[in-house]
Amino acid sequence: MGELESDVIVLDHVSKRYGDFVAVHDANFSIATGEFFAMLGPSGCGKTTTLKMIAGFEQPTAGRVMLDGIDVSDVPPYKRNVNTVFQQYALFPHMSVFDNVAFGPRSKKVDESKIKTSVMEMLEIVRLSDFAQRKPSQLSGGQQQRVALARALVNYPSALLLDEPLAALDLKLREAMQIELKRIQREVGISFIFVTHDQGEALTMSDRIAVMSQGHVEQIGSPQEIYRSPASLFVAGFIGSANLLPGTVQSHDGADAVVALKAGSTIRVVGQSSAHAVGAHVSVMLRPERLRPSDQADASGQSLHGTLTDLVFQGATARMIVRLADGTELTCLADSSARMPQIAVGANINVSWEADCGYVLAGWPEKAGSNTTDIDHIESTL
Amino acid sequence: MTAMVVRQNRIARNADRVGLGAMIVASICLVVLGTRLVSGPMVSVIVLTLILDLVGVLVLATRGGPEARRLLAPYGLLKPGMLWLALFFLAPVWSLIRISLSTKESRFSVNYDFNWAFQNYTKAFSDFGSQFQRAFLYAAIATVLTIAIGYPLAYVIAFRGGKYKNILLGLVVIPFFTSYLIRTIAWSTILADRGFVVRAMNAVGLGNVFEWLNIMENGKLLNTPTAVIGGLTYNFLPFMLLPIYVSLEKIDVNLVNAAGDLYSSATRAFRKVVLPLSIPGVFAGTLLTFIPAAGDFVNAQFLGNPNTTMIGNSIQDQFLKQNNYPVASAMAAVLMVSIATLVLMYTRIFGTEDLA
Repeated sequence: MGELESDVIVLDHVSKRYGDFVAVHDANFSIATGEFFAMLGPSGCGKTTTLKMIAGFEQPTAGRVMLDGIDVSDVPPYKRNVNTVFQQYALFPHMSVFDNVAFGPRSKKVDESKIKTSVMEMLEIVRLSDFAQRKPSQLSGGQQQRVALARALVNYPSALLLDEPLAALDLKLREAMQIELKRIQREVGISFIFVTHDQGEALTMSDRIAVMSQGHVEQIGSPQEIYRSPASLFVAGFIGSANLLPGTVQSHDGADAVVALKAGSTIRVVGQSSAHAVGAHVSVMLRPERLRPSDQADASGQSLHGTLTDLVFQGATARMIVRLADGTELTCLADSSARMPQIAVGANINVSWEADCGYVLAGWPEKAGSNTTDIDHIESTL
Repeated sequence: MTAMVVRQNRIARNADRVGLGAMIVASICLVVLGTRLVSGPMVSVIVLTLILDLVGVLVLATRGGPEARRLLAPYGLLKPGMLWLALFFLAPVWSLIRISLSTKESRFSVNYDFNWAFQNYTKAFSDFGSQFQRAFLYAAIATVLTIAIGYPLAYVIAFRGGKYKNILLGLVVIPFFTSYLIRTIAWSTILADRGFVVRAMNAVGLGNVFEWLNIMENGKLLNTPTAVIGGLTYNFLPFMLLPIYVSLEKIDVNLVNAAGDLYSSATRAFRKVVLPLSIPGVFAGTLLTFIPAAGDFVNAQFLGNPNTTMIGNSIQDQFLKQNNYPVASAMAAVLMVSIATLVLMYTRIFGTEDLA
């Protein structure tokens, strides 16, 4: 990987082992100046360990961590020009908001008059100027979060590290803070690297996302890339929801692949022949919102036939569960407008999709059909 | 009939005032009885008042309806504690102060004449000034030593104890399952002139150094101020260690990490974050150590010599051996007031209101 001038942080083949357990395996990527970078994955995937190695709270067992072009692998946290926003904020309870924010500059023995200006400036940016003399315990969760941000940003670090920064907030506040974080990041122009298990949060805020699983970086890319062309079955299932249909590549037809599904039918996937040889075990990924339900039969070769087993009205959309002949269940997210066909639960239904919508992934999924990020799993990590 | 119902209702509505009044009256009765302030038929009157008071409140609680019970409940909960304090704290303090201002005809007389005998206080100061000084000095040194020993120990257990935390705390506390007296007497064996500590000191040549530092006197460790202060330190160590441990244990490790992240060295992180957050523990520990240590007489008795007697020894001596209750009471009162004053001053200076 090339080390560009504009890269703030470079992880050069970094691994971390605890005894036999590999927490992070060969992480190898760089983060550019001013980038909003997310490390996304389920708990225990190694994202927090990676963050701690960048912050300096953990040392890599192999590889190098480069900060502003200098190897900092053995440099303690207090000598690194990065700052962390901790998950529970870790504000100093015995100090006022002002003293909390001034803690970093005072450690660096900055002139007290300069500290006052820069602290008030930063409190202005996070909109807490009126709260300078309060104690953290007198603030709401969102305000504490912003104090934690100001306390880190006042040092103008090369990069800001955020460990699940919004996990402690409730849903509404979390959505508001996502926008607020993005605004603050644009205003200060510092790279933000944040760790989250919430794919929605990662998609909303990030310029680039690194999806991690079991210590491995599965894919790095923009939210669009990761959503449209996931690199693995894990990424496809973890980001958004996906219908994964196992099958075998039957033939190549020009750029298109013809896949014989285990469910019985054979479908054509446009522009997907090159990466997968004939005879390979593959899965075809269909995003629920791209599927079109219809009571009419479709002969394009890009449709499936089944029974509607459930219909959930969700306001702007309606969620339909379609069971195919072999029992595989597909999720279909349809516009709940008048265009939606009038199909009763239990009736036959046809789902079709645009030619460019299917995407072929190597391997077979553990569970055929609808895959969404496991709600219980997400809740257990909150 | 109607008038009575109205009256009853009024009592029920004001049940909280009735409860407060009854509590105060009962407390006063107990103090009066406990201090033997009255004699003869008046005693019966007071006892009768007390019984009527208690029964009256019970009747109001059972017959007054739910509203009255709700209003009475806080006083019902307070009353046992209040009466206990009235009988076992207020009454003795009252007696103590009364006796401290009394005289008696001869040493062997059992009757005291209350006559504002302030000379008892003059005598307490003039005859026992050095014991007072020594008590406060020894207690202060022992308190400082318990902080010096207890704080690092609590720190290590709280932050580095890991899964051994409870075992380590247990090891600190277990010796104190043995009686205070026995442990103190055990120290006199350990520090004895031919005991292994003194012999070991002399063997490695530390004896002379300690002699020079006034830690040892004439080759002895037992019956020196060192032994008394050491005994106090040993005996009160858990009372310092446990509150400090509790306050340290509450500190989120991420606060220390955050300080490190904000360019603080380990020393600065300790000074600016850990220490201020653990001050309430040190404060509580200081009170729990200094107050009983200043009044202690066991350590000076078993580990000291006649020149190390503390005020506790003198009070005990005046009460139990000299049978001089008036002067002993005056000394006890002075000790109480001085400790209270010191604690108040200490609270003013190191008050913990500012800590979140």
